[in-house]
Amino acid sequence: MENKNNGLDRRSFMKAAAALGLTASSMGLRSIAMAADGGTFTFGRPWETVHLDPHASQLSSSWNIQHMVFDSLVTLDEEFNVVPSLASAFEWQGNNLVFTLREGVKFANGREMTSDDVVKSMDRALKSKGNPWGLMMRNKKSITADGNKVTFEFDGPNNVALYSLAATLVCIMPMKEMEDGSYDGAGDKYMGTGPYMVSEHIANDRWVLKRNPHYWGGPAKTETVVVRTIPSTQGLIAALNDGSIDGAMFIGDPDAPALLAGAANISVATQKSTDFNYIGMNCVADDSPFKDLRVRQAVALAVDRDKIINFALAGNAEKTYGWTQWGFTDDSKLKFREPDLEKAKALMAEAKPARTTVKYLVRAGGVHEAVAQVMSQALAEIGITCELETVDGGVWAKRVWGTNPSEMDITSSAYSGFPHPLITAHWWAPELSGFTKGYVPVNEEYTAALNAAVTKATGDEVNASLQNLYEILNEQCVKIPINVNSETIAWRSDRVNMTPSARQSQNDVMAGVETWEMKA
Amino acid sequence: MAETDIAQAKKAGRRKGALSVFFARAGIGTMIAVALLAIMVIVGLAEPYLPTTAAKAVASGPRRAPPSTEFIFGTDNLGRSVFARILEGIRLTFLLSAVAVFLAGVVGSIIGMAAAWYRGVVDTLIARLADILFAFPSMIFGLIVAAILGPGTLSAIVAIFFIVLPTMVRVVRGAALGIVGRDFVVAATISGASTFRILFVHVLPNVASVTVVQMAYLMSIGMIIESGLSFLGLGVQPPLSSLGVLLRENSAFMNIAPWVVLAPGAVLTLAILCVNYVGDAARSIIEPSQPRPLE
Amino acid sequence: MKHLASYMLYIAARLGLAAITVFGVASLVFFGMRLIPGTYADLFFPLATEAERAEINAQYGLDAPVFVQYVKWIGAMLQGDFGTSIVTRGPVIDEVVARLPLTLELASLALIMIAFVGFPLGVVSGMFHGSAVSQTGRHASTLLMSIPNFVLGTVFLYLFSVYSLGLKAGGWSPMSDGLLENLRHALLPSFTLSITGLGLVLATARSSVLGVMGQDHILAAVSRGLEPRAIFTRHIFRNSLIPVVTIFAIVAGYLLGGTVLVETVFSLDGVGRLLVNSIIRRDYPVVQTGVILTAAFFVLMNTIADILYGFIDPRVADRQDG
Repeated sequence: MENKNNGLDRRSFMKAAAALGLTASSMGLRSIAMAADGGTFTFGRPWETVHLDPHASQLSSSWNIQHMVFDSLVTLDEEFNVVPSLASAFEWQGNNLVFTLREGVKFANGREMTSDDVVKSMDRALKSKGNPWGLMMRNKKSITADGNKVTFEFDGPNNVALYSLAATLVCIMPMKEMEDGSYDGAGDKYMGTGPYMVSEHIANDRWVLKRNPHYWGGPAKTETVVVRTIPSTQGLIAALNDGSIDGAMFIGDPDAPALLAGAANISVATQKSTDFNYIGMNCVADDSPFKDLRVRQAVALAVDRDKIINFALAGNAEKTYGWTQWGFTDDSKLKFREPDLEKAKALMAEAKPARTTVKYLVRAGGVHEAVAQVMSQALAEIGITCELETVDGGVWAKRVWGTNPSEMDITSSAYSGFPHPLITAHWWAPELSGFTKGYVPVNEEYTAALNAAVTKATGDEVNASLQNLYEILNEQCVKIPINVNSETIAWRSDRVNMTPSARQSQNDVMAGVETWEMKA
Repeated sequence: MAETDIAQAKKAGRRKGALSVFFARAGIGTMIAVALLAIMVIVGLAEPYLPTTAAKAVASGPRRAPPSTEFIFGTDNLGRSVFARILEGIRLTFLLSAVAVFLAGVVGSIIGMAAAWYRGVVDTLIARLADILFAFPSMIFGLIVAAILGPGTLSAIVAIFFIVLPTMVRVVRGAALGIVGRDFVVAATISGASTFRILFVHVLPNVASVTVVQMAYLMSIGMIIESGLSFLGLGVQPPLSSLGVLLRENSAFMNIAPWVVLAPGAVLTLAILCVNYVGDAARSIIEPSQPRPLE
Repeated sequence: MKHLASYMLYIAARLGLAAITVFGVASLVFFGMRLIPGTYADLFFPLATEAERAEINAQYGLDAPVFVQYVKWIGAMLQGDFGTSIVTRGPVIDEVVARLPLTLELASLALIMIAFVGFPLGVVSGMFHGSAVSQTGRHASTLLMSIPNFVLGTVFLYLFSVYSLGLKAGGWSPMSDGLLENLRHALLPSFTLSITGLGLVLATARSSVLGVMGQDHILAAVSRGLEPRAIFTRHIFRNSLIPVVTIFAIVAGYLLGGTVLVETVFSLDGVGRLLVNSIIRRDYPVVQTGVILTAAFFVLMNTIADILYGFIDPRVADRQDG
């Protein structure tokens, strides 16, 4: 575990400076000194970007590279507070959210970003195929620009808008170039306002990113960052050992620290993420035994989170009962927490489901295959026989999200967590979010409470309504959260100076990459 | 008819003699292979009733425990006995390949005999189709089949079936061509026997030995394909284990727990080796001077 | 002259058959891919509406009836246009060509090992019939054919990551970055890839030499008192070459399509992995092109074997009567 003892890292410093109203040019000297540093930093990761267009990237695998190239109006600090990014300041004026655009922000081609880019980017993003952020801004009336101010006008409060604007799904793209055709917004030669731009992309192999000389935070320390796709943990470790990569992220492999133990010159850090694993059950298909609330509650009582964590997750994960793991809610009031087999069996005896052999769909990769095996054993104890089928993410999405009713009875998967739990709360409201309608039942009470929490609540009411939503979901047992993930990041301490952030959200694993530096 | 009866009698006699010839000629290596193979088949068949099945449960022991008297090959990352899972793996690896190869043997014999009997357009068509299947990269074929049918035992069987089928067809066709011109077949044709009768009563017994030997070879190919598909996650689905599944699930832990990989890897290699040895010995009896078949 | 003419006819017939086979593979992969449930849009835009997904499908011409798509695709391919990748939106041929050097190098190195290790060992083991050498050759070939390459690869990955011994297990360094570095990465995967072929060529060479050795003209040559070296080069080596050449060409064809598992184990980005990933992503044009190229290579190698066979043994060509 690397300790962050160097105080403010560069990105935090930039954010602090930004908050104080300093501009990049007032720190010009320092920037020039840093621009002289060059070198190539090569990073390995186990997956490849699926979606290229940032505004249409529905799966989190794509966000990692996009975070390095594109900025949004705001971003997050390690405590998941919203802090300035392309907007140097923001404030609520009644029901209007007003952003003051940062001065001197340029795209990597040297053109200055305008409020026109911002308004048109927002328009494009919210209209993009499958982009769920229109939902988060459902009570938005207009987005208008006036000089360096951009105003989002809502017809009431909106408690998720600000948080959702920190996502790459609503990043600011070079709209002028996209309109005149000189930049392909749906392509992979990414060019934005962030510290890097894409110079080469070979699908399934590598992204080559070059320093953006015009980055508003001052040029990044390393000239070239290469992000390679190396699909297995062994491959990543071998590449780290032989020096073909300088750093690696071991996403979805909780055994990585054990496998890395004892390796020379390799530093290992754990990064907590908001991503969480869950078990989902089909409550929509007519023949699904899980349509019966009692069966779902029996499953919830059969789940042994400690066993799952100790065996399937190498003890390297934090237990969770809900999806609001960052202190928003109080677990002690939940009814379904610790395993209780007797009660579970009693519920099963009462429910007497007509069918007890179920199709257990597992999302390939990561920990789901192991979790599902522990789960299927637990379910066998309450009389449910599972037939596991492991499929790739795309097939999984089609069968669970793209088909109604979903082609599964029960599934193991993960949600990418967001900085505010109200965002993820929408995935339980199929009449709003749509994509979960194949297995999540409509619950009018819940949806009404959610709508109120997002567009009506103010001040303390927000957290109180969140607690209410939390308790409803715990009793409904449609999805059972298991654990919050901790990911492993390792790097060659003899070759690179880097400090990965201790916590991240929205797959921003390489946050702060612009401050990482090759050793001479 | 008389000649056919004689041929059949000869055939029966030869078949009776085949086993004794086999054991008389077999070297010590082949004998060991036969013994090991017999053990594996028996263990495979009996596996569901063995006391080891309980140790296939998650948390039977600690994670990745080294080999001990309790867990001969140690435990895997979910605390399951590797030994118990290997026994199940032997069962499924043999079973899937055997089913697929047997089906390919039956279907391949029919198609191969039909090609030899009808010649002409039928033969050409069958030959071209076999060429096409043969030229299709086999692992990619397996991947596409698994994508169409969904991963699992069915798609593994279907994939193996189609991958080994063209070889089967070619071999049976070759053998049957030599038979259909023989006097007793001609005689049967003249006497008005149906095509069905000629092929199954007169031709089949004479190509059966070639078919069986070829099936032994294809069995080893089938096992390699099955384990390869399972290694890619497209064959047998956990918690069921084929030997390929064990390698897939555990290969990441080779460095810190070599036994979880080496044990199933060695058993898989040994099983294929035994099948190959027995196939070799069987062939040397039936076609002593032929070089090894291409597959 | 008659012989030459019939030989040319034979070659033409072989090439014709090869073309038919490749066309068959092309059709099989085309319809096979479309039998897989779900298009790229279905799988990767699950949050989009039905209409939006239909729009994405239309962008790639996937809205047309399958048979129309097929005819269009065959037509384009005959003009050398392999289409556009659905995922990267670039020309398919670029995707394939970018990976081809790695896969070709693996296959070539494997072939070299097979030629310079498997073949001589087979000949030697065949010449000393009944000796320990010959028996070792037999067992070695059976063993080599029995080890699944991903098992050997996994063991190598472990052994060579613990004891490097100068070789790299996993990863790749292109030839342009220095031959030595390239070979250090390429040797383990290409040896892993070679084992089945190694065993097969060893066994074929061995049994072929064994067969020739037992023939009358060798015994006659020996009794005539010819020098052993002359017997070997003039009689044994030449005559035992025919089946070996055939098997060698078949192995060469098989190697290019057999790299999937080796590339997976060693984390290499070759044509095999490209095909796997493209099947997962339903990138039809990439899968189709990759499979066609692999199959074409296989068929070409087989055809060359047939033609060589006809050249070495003219009776084969003469027998060809339609």
